[in-house]
Amino acid sequence: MYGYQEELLDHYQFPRNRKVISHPTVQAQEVNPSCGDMISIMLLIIEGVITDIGFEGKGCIISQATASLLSESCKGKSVSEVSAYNYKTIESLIKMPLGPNRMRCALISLEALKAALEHYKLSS
Amino acid sequence: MKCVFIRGISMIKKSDFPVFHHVPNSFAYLDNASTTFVPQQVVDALTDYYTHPYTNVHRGIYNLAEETTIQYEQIRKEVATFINAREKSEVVFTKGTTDGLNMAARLLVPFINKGDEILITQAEHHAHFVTWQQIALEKGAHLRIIPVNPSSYTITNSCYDSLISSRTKVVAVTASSNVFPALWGPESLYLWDLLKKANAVNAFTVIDGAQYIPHMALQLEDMSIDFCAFSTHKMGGPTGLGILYIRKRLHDCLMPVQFGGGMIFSVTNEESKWARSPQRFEAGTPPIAQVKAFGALLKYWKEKGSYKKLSSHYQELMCQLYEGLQALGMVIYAPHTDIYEGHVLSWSVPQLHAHDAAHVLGMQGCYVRAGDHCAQPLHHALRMPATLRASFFWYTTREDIEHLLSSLEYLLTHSKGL
Repeated sequence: MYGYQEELLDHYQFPRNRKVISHPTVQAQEVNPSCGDMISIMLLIIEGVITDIGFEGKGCIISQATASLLSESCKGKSVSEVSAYNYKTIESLIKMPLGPNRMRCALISLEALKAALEHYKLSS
Repeated sequence: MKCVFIRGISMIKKSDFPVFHHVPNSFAYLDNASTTFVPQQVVDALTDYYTHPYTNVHRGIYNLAEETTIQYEQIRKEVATFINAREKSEVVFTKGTTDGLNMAARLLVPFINKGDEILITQAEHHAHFVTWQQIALEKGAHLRIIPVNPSSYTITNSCYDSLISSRTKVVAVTASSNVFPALWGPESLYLWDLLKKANAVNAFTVIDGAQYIPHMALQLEDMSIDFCAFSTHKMGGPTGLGILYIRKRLHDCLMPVQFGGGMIFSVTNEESKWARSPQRFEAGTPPIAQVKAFGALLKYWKEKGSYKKLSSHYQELMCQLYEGLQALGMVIYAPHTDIYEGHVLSWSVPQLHAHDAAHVLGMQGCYVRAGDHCAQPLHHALRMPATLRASFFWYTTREDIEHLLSSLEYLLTHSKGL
């Protein structure tokens, strides 16, 4: 579609890790209040490493494709490594410029991920 | 059947608005319910104010300060005439609609008791919905919500007749929705009916006029409205300024909710007494430059505008938009009708999120709103997804609508299979 990268559209149409993890170590959900988009992230963490990740959600191409891209990027990485993810990480994953309002769509999966990691740190 | 119109000949032209001198032809701004562009006269008034000696109002007694005060108060009088208020003391300058609605609600708090009922609509903007929701919680009052018919997207008497009673203390409703084109039916028939019923049970009436005043004439006195708030930036005026109409009969029994300079009659260590309205409700230095700029806007409207022609122009645009969207297979949140009213229309693109659609339309120079339009309770109640919204203003043309429809067609072609 006009203006969207092929890779992004591919992740929207064929999302990676869109699945439920039955016994996650932690999970968290975030919502974009301006449109109701939602991302729920589940992490399986073994000895400080994200060994599996699953997400569910509904919303626009940007929010859902970013969740898919982010999930691929997290898998196999340590909690401390992923805790350092920020706005710039998301920008480099989606490879397209977004204004601050639209960027909120891309950031909800990062916020869900960060919230899940906070739960993990508090519980471990 | 196609709608046929005798075209309203408006003297208002896009070239009056300097923004359009600086944008390409392929620019269609259809987010006017959010904010509007200003004519050159408004820019000139702001520049004029800041490039000539100026002062505060209601304070200094030197010539210049007196002159500024006279001009400021003259514009208040012109606003009163514009909204058909009985006198200028009923016009209070605020920061905007949100500020005005919050102020109206706070002014009424002392009159609200536990168990009282506050009647609002499901279609209120968050600025109005949340304000009354919080006051109801604070005072132990009951928030009664008038539902919107889910198939016609309108409110009729059957929606509110059972909700209004002697227990109703406040009726606080929007005069025109920022999501649906004709919330209260043809010519807002049911709004006037509801206001009459509110008066019959001695309820206070508060009107959110943000989406009404810029587009339609409102007879505040005739309708026995107690409060009405609107913003100037939604009608070709400056940001940072709103009007709160407060009916005269209430002035002396309302305790001010903001305190400061300008609203005082006398102050001692023990107590304070208040100035009369409108000063009583304008604590601190008001937005003087913006008031002067709004004065210029009113003059512009008086010279070139006409609600009658505007209504005919909007009907034509709405018909073009509705039929165009229908032909493209859009899900439209308004019924098919013979006469299209209003200045806003919301719809969704089947199988495509509103944010993605608005993003791509934006890349094509077509600016529409996407989301819940600060009306989450409405979207939830009617199970509506995030929607797209086009909204008109005085300068909107058929070419803008054509631009939107062709951009949507392009979008549909290029989003197949997603």
